[in-house]
Amino acid sequence: MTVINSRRLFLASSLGAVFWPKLMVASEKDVATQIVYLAVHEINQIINSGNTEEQMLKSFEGVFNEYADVPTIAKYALGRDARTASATQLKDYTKAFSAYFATKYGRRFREFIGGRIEIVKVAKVKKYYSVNTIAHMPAYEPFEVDFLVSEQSGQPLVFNLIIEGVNMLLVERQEIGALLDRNSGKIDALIRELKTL
Amino acid sequence: MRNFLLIISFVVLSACRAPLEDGISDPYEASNRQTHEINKSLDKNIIRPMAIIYGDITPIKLQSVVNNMSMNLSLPRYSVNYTLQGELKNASKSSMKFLVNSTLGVGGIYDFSSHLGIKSEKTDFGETMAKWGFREGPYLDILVLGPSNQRDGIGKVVDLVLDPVSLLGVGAKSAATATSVAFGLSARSQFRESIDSILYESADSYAQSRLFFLQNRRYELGTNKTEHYIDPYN
Repeated sequence: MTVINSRRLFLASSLGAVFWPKLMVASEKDVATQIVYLAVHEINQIINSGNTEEQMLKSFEGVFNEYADVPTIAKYALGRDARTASATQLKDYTKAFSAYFATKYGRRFREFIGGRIEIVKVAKVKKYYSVNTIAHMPAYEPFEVDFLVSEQSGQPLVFNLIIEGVNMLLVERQEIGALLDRNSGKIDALIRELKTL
Repeated sequence: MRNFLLIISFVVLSACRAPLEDGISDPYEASNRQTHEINKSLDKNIIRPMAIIYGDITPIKLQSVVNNMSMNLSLPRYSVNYTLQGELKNASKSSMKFLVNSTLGVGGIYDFSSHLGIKSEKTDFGETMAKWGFREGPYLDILVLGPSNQRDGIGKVVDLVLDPVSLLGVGAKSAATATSVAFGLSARSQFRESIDSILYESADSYAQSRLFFLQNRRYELGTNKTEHYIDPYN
């Protein structure tokens, strides 16, 4: 809970009280919902802000850093090589991955310009919560985006996205794996390339 | 009559038995990769530039109208496929939607039936075959059409040949083809960056397209054997 700025939480709770009375009940499930609620609220504001691409990408980076467990996503994407990497390599890699991740997914969310994301339902699955949302687009059929939230890092954070069945962690593991192959399996070379993307 | 009942019961009994799928089967990877490269250059030189022009000069409201018409002309096909799947309720919904949108929705320009609460999920012959128990088979990258698998590749051909809209005349069929091309261009333009990112920015665009297609298709058909859940904390 410490991640959330308390004033913002108060604001969201009051909004939630109006639109979604259930948010007022403090339970694990609601904490997960709240995280996604806040993230989605900010994403909706960004995509309808009319800001420039650069400004939007910067705003998205802020949202990811606040609500997503980027280091865990980075480590999973690296796969087995995360175990053999040195602490310094892992640190540099995580930093490079975070920047790459923010730009890439910032651009993906930017394509929702003119649309909005709506929370539909929340379900507890094993050790995480799946917050099911629908992205409404101006000229297309709406599509589903699931935000998976876990508290295993000590804070409730988004650790995966499922967009119409496509699992972000799997996609990133494959992409980072391909980048690593291209760099003959050398992590330092991978880090250098990530920085150029 | 008895034969007819037999067919109906076969269709109904065989429904909802789509086999679950897991992993990636890609024995034709070498030739698939070649097709992928051809498709990429088709996209780069023809489809993408056309889509950008179409998307830029056509107001989003107009794109929406054209997309509605395309969707409307897909409904008879959905209806036939739902019937073959034994999903008679969905079949009648698709037919009803087609009738309402073609009349009150002025030839499908407005999705009038949505206001009446008539919803129809899309379907195709690939899904029909899945419900009949056919497995997806090897992954295929098809010229122009892109990522697919053996079952859905056959499905696309069957949908193309057996489209009931053809029965409404050449005009209707041409409208269906034209609006579906426009829909494709509209989508290519709207999701330009996502598609560009997969095709032109990823380290292995073939592998990424394959992963996206397989996961998305299994999700649509509910045939994904592996769970979404990956626990990155362990």
